[in-house]
Amino acid sequence: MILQTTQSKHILCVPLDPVHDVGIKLINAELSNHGHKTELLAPDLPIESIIKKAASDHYDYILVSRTIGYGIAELLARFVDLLDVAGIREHSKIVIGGKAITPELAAELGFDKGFDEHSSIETVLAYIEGKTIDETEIKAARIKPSISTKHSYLFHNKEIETLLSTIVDKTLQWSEGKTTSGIQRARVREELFHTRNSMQQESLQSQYNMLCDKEIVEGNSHHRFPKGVRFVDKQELQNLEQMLSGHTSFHAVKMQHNRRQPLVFKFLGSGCPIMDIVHGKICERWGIDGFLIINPSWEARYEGLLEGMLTHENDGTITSFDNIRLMKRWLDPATLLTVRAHRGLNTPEIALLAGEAGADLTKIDLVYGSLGAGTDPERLTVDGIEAIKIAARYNMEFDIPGNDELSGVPAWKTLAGLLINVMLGKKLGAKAILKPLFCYGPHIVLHGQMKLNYVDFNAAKILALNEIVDCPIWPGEPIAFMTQTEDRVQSANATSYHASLAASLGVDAITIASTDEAYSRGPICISSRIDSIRAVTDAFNFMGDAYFSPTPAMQIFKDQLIQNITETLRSVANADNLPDAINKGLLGNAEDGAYPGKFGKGTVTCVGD
Amino acid sequence: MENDSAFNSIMDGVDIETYLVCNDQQEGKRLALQLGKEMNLGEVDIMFEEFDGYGMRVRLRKYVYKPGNTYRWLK
Amino acid sequence: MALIPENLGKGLSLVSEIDPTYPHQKKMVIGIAGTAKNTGKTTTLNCLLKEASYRNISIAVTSIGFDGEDIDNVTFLPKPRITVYPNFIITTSQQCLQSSTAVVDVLQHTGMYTPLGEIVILRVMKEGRIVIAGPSNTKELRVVVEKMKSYNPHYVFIDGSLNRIAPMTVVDSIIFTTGGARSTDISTLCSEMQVIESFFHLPVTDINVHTASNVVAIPLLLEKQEVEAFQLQQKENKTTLYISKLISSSALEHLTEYCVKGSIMFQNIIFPDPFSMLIQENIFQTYECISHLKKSNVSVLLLHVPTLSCIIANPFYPQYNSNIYYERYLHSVELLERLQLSCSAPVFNAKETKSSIIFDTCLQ
Repeated sequence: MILQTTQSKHILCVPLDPVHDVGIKLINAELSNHGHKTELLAPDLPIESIIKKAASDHYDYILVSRTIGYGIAELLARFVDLLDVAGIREHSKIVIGGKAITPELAAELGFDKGFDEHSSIETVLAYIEGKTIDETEIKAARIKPSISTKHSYLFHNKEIETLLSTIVDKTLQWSEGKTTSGIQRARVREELFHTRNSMQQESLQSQYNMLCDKEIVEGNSHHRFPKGVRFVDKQELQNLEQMLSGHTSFHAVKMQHNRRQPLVFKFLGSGCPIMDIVHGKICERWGIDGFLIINPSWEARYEGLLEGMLTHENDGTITSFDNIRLMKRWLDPATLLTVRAHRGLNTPEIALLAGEAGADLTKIDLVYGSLGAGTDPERLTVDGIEAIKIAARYNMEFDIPGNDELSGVPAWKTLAGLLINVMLGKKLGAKAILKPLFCYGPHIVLHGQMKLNYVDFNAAKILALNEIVDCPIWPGEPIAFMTQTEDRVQSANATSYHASLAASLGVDAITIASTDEAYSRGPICISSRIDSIRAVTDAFNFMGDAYFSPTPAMQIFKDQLIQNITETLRSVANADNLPDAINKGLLGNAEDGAYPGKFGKGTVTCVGD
Repeated sequence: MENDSAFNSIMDGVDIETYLVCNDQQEGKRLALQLGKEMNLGEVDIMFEEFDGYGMRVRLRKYVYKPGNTYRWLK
Repeated sequence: MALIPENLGKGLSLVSEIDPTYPHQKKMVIGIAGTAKNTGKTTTLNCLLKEASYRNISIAVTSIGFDGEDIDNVTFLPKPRITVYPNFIITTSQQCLQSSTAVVDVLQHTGMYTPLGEIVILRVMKEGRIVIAGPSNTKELRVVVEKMKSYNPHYVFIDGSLNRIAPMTVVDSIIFTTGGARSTDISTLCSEMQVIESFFHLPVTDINVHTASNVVAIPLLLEKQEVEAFQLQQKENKTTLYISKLISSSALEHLTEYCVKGSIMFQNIIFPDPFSMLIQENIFQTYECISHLKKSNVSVLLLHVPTLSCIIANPFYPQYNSNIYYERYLHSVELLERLQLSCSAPVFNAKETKSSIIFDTCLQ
């Protein structure tokens, strides 16, 4: 329904290009949708007809579109002269729009206003309606998406369901009565969050310190931090506030072309929460739906977490409560945030901090965390189960990265591992999100599944999972992993093709990297982030609601995957429990390039020990 | 820079792609052109610019040789 | 070497006759129009303003737009190229104000907007450079000129803007600049200037086009089909055609053809002013038509004719070769001599002629 408002303007749209200018057609439609009375002339009309038309009625605005080219300035200036002599300028404002129009050019040609091809409809509308808007004003309230709500978590493949149930039941039983210092720290921390009594706080803090490695205590109690770590200072925070306060609302650009297309996530974890936030805000503006906070790899080695707003001069932003909180404070409320918990010895505590700080998801993978990320399987299983329970309590989904493939583990073993996590979540009341990789992993290199094309095998993974269970799927991590080089264009392209495939397969979300992904010798630059966002936005546009068409090989891959997943799960179900299965190499062995982790070995104790 | 041999080995042009923190489009453009000067490239063309509210994504180009010039790399 | 035309003495005041206490000169609003970039418009304006300052005469300066020739490649704002002096009244746009080196006092915000911001009227307190910007349409220009006049300048200069001329209808006299940058062929320059000047020599009519009963007035645009219609059914007593706004080039051609043939019987064809001709697509074609009409005893008349006070010729032209810019010059003496032979208005070289002479010639 078109509402006629008191501000309804009468507008004449004049395409002066010989061929129809889509831009002005769109503006004409949008202005009309906003309640203005618009008329669009045909393109390439003789100037005299345009003058007569412009004079025939009282137009508030005459919008002209023309691409600047050789001799065009003269043409436009003369047109302005004719409008003047005809008396049309006495009541109509004339506006020029087109590629390369600058305010200076518009002024020189004698127009009342000029817009270039990047000007948003909101800017044009604001001008027409006589309003001033900040270009960064929020257009429509962004609604926070939820990844899991569309899925039932029902298993279609009953055999796999049964096997998973067995595995999880055995594991939960095994972990019953077991604890770790990680779990204990999480409990202490939780109490600390809810205690106001300062004496009690001191006592709890003391308890916490006793459960930590000395490096952590040194940092937290004496502010003697590991190399490259320091507090963010007050001035930096103030400066950040000043920089961002003028931009508390922003123009919500959407990357997705339609509602079916996946949410897009990016990594943050430069080491500095301020740089992360600034990058984050810019990425939000370009349409990113959420971020994964990546912590320093050394955090995995220590029992205990550093506290405070800390900056770190290397890769990975310290996952302190204050850092997560700071990021949450500055990122848009509708932006999703996931915090990586599955590396190391602090899994339950990080899940807790994430929940308390208002993050939306936490990353937990009991299998990959043990096989590829170095934590002892027993330790990570006990910790991970606690973390999943915490995620459930805080209503956080948890995403499971299948990065084991990167070591050389065959895809089906990785997918089997992911499914185990899903079932764990289901039994503990937390919703898991599957993250199969879109990658060119070592196993694939050796066995040639992607030799003929990248579509079939990646599609097979997704479709296999879809056939097994109705669970959200979020390929990563990032997509196009190991297909990218340091060449920016190649990197952006690789991401965009994989994004197109992901969109075609109807997945729920994707993680994309910057075009710096393959370069390991320095931090990621904002330009490189925008490179891939741009590429994916275009890819989504290109794909729209169309599909990739796989070859018959895809079906074969899919069936093989399901078969192999089943076999893997059978062997895991025969093991005593999940850690036992991991230690036995059932979900990835030395030949695959996977080794059970060592951090935290022997640290699982029984409650009451 | 004109006499430096590395510069002369550029076949045609050199691009600078970066992101400039600025308050508006005008400031961004100004900074972009200034960057060209500060980097000793003299006058540069702004091939692409887009202000996103926080800063400007920009691609500057300095043409070293255009068709019809004497190419110092052609010996 | 300055070329002093023989007809310079005609009707000019000597320096000592300019009375600084006389508030309003008869021909007070002066336009400066360039036929191309680099033809000396800015130099001329600067030279006139400097001379005015030297003589303690206050000038108001505005523009029919904004001359974007020189964008500062660092600031990306138009470079301020006009030097203004204390007590001058200037218009610029809000955005261009920031690049001014002159110290100014804002007198008025006009409420009129250009793409570079609101037009403001200023008084210059301390000498410096500024971007002149003004309203690009006639209606607003009239208002701005009146507003500026209220501050009692001796003259109001209206700086032109490339490729547009229509709002110059408000001027009392006009200066044109031309030169090598317009064309490197001196014959072409001469023909063009001759044609332009001819429009300023058309006689003024005393017919009241609004009340006279023998007038056919075209309210907006005269097109070919209406001209055809005149051929078929022209009323005998309608002897005057008044083209109040626009005429298409094909209409003008056909009108001329039929008048010459005698199938249309207008005795007079009236236009508002010479600018009606200058906005035609092809001024040579317009000139030809007017010549034919005159030869067929059809009077081509104007309602109002500003004076074309002088022509500034600039021999300079830029030449670009593989990204390098070269300064080139036409033969200066030949250019000026030939132009002077083609035109009756005095022809000067802005850089070489004494500013006092240009000033005296243009400001009567």
